[in-house]
Amino acid sequence: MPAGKSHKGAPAAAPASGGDRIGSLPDEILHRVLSFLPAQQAVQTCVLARRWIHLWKYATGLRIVGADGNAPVPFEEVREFVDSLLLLRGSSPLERFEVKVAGAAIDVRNLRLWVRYGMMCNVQVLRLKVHGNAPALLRFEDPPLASRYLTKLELRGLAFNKDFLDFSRCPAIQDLIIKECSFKHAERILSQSLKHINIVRGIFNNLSSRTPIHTPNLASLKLHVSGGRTPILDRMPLMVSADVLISSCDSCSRSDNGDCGDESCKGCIPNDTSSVLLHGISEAEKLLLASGSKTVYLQLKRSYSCSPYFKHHAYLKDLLIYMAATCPVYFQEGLEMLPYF
Amino acid sequence: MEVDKGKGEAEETRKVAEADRDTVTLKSSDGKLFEVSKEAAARLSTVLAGMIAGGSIDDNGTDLKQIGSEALENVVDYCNKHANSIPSAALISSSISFNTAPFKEPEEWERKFVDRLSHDALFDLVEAANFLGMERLLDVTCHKISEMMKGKSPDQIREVFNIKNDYTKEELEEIRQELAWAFYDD
Repeated sequence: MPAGKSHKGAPAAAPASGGDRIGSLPDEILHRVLSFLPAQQAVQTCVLARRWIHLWKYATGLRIVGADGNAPVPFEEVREFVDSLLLLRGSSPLERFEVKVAGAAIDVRNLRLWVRYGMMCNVQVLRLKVHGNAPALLRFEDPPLASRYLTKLELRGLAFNKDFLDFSRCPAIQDLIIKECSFKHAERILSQSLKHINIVRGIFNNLSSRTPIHTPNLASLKLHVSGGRTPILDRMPLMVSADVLISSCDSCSRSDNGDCGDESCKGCIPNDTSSVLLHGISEAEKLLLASGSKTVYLQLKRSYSCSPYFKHHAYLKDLLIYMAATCPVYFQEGLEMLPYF
Repeated sequence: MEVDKGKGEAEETRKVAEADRDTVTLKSSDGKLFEVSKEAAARLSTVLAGMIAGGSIDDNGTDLKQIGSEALENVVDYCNKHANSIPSAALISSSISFNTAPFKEPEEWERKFVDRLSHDALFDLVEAANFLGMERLLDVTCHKISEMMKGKSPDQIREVFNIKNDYTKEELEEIRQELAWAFYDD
């Protein structure tokens, strides 16, 4: 709902006719009101009146964002503020914690501490968005998260280390949104509880291996690979909807059709019954496959025609295969694929 | 025994009839009656859900003595609108775009719903939502209040909400010094 973001509430702002209605609300309601404000403004409400002096410490959400509530805030400008804030608010429970910072010299040690702080406060929704020194990504070398409260995690602008995306110790996590991050050093994405994954402009390993995604209870997948080898999907029998967009050139240097003939080549599909994507998405009701690259297309085509999954496909209601506008020729070939269904 | 049994059966029949209805009737503090979708009421209000499950819903209008008719009308309106709206928080988005809506951001219709309220009506609705245990409506109304505060100076906020500054000048100065880290942009 992008239109809603810039919304400015107005009509109800007419001055109150009677007394101090807001001050009469219970504390828990005011903690909720403050949870939606940028943190700096939430803290500053302590000067409004005595009623407000400690309310900010118990706000159920913390938003480390720009003053407009949307833009990232320069890291250098908020580092000291956030450290002081977290120290003084102690371990009051947090439902939502959002950190959206920008700058060329972001110190990852602070971010790691802030994330750990959120975990300590039993945060349910954690957002960490780094608008750093593009195209370099911030190397977020942290052990995997452990929390039985975390339900949603949103990350941006990070490069993950090997097991950070192993969510074995987050049994309640359902939503994972990862934008403009590097998975080059991530060994796997693993979770028994995840239901929705949205990976936008993900950069994967471009050398030997493919990153496995092992999330057997996934219901929806949006996967946009913008660099490196397409990750390999394990079986996901509950999948309802899959959107896969591959805009990287996913090929073995020795072949452009997905099979160079070398059995030991990890980049190619070794035989007719295995595939990179189809184990994961073949049970989806809605499937959208998109690509701008001939190689990827060939791999998909090859997989489809050979796949034992799709030949007896009973679930698929809506299939859209779409080639990026830059490759109109391949769209023609795409049409030829349709009789397989 | 016979009489008791007959009474029990009648009670049972009445309960079954109630369970069959797909609306419930709510009565405001000033005696006005409102019909609301039972499904939406049970889904959106923990208090109403408890009353429906516990059989304490009165066919002639369940008394909600803490809620005035204007606020109750807004509650009922919200429930009914919610029942009719396509749940955009649904699991699946068919859109080709890879964007997702931020967590708990109010929907467009929810924004419009609270935007049209007067100052007092908004606060009456917050209190009613709190009383009825309506988490989503509390989020939407609290979000609206935060929007009314956002970007405003303490003086402007006091003016909008009629907040009386009961600090002395010295106390205020002390707070600002103690929390200098939070007033770095002043």
